[in-house]
Amino acid sequence: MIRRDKYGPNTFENFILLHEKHLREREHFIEENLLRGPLFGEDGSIYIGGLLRCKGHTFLKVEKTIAILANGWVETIDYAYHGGVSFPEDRAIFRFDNAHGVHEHHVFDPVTGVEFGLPRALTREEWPHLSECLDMLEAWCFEYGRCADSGEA
Amino acid sequence: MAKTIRLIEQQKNDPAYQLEQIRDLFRRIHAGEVEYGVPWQEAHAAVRSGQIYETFEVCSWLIDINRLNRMIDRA
Repeated sequence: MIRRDKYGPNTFENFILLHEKHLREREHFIEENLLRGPLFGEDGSIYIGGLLRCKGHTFLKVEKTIAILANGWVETIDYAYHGGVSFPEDRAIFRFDNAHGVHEHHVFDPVTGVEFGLPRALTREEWPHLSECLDMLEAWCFEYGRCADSGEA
Repeated sequence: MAKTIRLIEQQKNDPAYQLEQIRDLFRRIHAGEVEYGVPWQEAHAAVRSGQIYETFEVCSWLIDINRLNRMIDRA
């Protein structure tokens, strides 16, 4: 059986549909959606960026560029998803990015904010979606954060 | 979904919007140069060499620089 590459190009309509659907499905966890976009960018690509404030004082910062291919389909080319917690102090939890050409996963100590070692290079199957980062943040919040305490999320 | 697609189509066909986007991009890239003390052309190398510690904000800057490079390629 041929499995479709979930990171491969998609139609523009499907991309927008999935982006909106994935955010809608996580409304129970997202407290405030401060994302800008999708916007048409100066380089002819589509841009999504900004902040999602989530339960348990967690947040996800997003920066994402989606290229429009010659056939009109779209594909994510640059991304940075930064999960963190803002209380009692602003601390990083994880970041996925490919900003300088390498797909990487950074993990941080949320108590000290110090990065745990070097970032790990990701295989293509591990490249994250925004929705997967939100799921990871929610799981973290229940395991180590304040989501379980307050019965939130 | 239809609303989002309509909005993007409007932006695509609005020269004033496009110009403002370009101005914003230049402003952000220049602000990064001032903050990190490296010209934009050397930003990727500076992050790779460890001269600049990579944070989310640095990633945003690099992504902006990637956009500028694509604009130059298209010109």
